[in-house]
Amino acid sequence: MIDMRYQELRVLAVDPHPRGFGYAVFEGPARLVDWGTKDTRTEKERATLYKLEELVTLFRPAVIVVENCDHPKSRRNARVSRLIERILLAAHAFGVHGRTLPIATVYKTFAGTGAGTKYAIATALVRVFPELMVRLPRKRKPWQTEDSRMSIFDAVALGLTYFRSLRRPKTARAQTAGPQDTDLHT
Amino acid sequence: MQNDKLDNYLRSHRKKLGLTQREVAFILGCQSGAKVSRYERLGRVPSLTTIFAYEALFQKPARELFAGIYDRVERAALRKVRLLVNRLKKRRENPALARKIENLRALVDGGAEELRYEPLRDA
Repeated sequence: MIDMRYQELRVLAVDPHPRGFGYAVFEGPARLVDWGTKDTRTEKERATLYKLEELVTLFRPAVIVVENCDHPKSRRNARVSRLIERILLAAHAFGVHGRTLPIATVYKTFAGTGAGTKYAIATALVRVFPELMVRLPRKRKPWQTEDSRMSIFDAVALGLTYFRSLRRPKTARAQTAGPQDTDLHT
Repeated sequence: MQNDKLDNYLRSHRKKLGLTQREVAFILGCQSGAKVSRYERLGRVPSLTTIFAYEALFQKPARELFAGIYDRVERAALRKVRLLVNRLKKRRENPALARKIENLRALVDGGAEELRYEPLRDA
C-alpha cells in the first residue's frame, strides 16, 4: 500500500502509441501538473525508456500507471505490449510503483458521464481540465489514423481511473467533488 | 520516490495559460525560450526580478510557484530559529529578550500570522 496523502499523491500515467507516448502527471485527482506527447522515431524502445527516465527524474512520481495489455479487451500490438512490460520493469528500477489498469476499467469509470468512445472520454476530460482543450484533435473520420495527441487524453483517463481505484478518505472525497467534475471524481 | 512538492510549478502554470516557452521568454524579457526551459527543468534558478515577473504573469505567489524550494527554505529557516531560541534562553533574562523569545517561539509553533506587534509604551 502506498503511504501517501491522497491529495498529494503524484502519479505519472503513460500511454504508448506507435510513434511515441503520451503522458500525464497528476498531484491528486484534481490537479494536472503536466501533460504532453513524446515522439520516438528511431530505436523506439530505448528512446521511450530514456524519455520516461527524464520524466521520472523531473517529476519524481510515486506511481507509474500504464494499460494492462494482458486483459482480453486490450487491443495493443505486440511491440507496444512488450514496451509496456519494459516500462513496468523500468519503474521498478527507478524505485517507483508500477500499476496496470485494464482499458475496460477506464471505460467503466467514464460510463457515468455518458462517454462510451475514446473521443467522448477526451471531450469529458476537457470539461474537467479545460487546459487540455488546445490539445484536443478534431474527431477523426473512419478512414483516418488516430492523432498522436489522443494519447494525452488516454493517459489522463488512465490517471483519473487510477485515483478512482484507490480507496479515498472522506475528507478528500468532499474536497475533490466540484460542480463540474462530480461525475468523474465521485 | 515522491517525498515532497516539486521544486517549481512553472511549466504547469505556463501550460494552463496555453503559452509557449518562447512567449514566456518574451514576457520575461529573455533572449529565447531556452532560458525558460532551464527555469522549468530546474537547470537554473531565476533572479528575483524574474520571479516577480512570473508572479505577475501567473497571478500566483512565489511560494506557490516555487513550492518545493519554499518548503525546503522554510524548514531550514525554522530549524535555525529553534537553534537561536535555545541560544537566547541561555542568556540573562530581561523583558526585551523574553519578548524576542516569545515571538520566535510563535514562529516555530506555526503561529507566524499571530505575531503581535504591540506598540512600545512610552518610558
